[in-house]
Amino acid sequence: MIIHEMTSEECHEFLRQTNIGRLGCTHDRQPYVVPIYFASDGKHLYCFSTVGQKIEWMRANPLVCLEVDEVVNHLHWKSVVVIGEYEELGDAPTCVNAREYALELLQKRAMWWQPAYVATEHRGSRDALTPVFYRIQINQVTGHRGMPDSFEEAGSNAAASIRPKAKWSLFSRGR
Amino acid sequence: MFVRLSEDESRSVLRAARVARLGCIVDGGPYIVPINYYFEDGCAHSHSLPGLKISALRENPRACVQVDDIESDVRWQSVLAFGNYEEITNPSERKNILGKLLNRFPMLTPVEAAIARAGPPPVIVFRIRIERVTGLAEE
Repeated sequence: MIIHEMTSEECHEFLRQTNIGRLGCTHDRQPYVVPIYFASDGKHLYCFSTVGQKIEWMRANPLVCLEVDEVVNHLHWKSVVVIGEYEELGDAPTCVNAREYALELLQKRAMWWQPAYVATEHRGSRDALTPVFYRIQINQVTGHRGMPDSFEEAGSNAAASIRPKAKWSLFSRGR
Repeated sequence: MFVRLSEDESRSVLRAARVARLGCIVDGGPYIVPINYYFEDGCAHSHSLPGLKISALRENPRACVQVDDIESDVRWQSVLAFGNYEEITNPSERKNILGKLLNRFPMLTPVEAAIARAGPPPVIVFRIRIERVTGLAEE
């Protein structure tokens, strides 16, 4: 296994191609992680939510983290971590453009929010409908990619017995 | 339509999953990494080489473990478990946990790859003792 550090361009490219990530925020020295949809434009990650615990916590502490990964198997994976700042796109006139931009960007990816929105409306619980648009300013992005080394590449086609007789092979099924 | 998962349902999601996102706190902000783990006796067990998450968890043991199964935009479940980080130092307990991890994940992971090449490195074996679990689903 060779772990490569991804370049900033590779990280951003991966963020543009992906739209599900795990958002982390904190409250009272307790971390909190939830899956979210997002769309990246390279500077910000645009997101949408109904009011809930994570929105309240991010209002109180805007330091957030978004982790995005793609795990094909143990030898082929990518993981990108964004450290950033929460910024709510509220009803104020100054936010109108950013909200429209967010909606446009998110709609390009998928019609993900409409079914939930319609279902909620039918149940008549208007409170849950209050949408919150927000964006995360990308302050730092790092990424790692796992790849098989030449030994593992060769080994993946051959019998497990050629693996090094490390102590750990006792536990391994040596696939 | 959102459904709240019961404690039992949430725990069975934790038992079934293989990859979790571990959340901890670095410099007052959140930090998330994917981990391979197994859930047993109310704890998520995993291992790691020394690094940012381990130093952060030693400083503040509050952690969360998030697992999900996302089939589509309207069909998913997500479980969030909160607990404390505990490092395992007892040699036989370490061996037992590493054995179970490697049974569950027979392919070499980065940690074992390092072991195979560089002799015994300072592998950290840890568990998150889960105190509270919440789960949500849409179906």
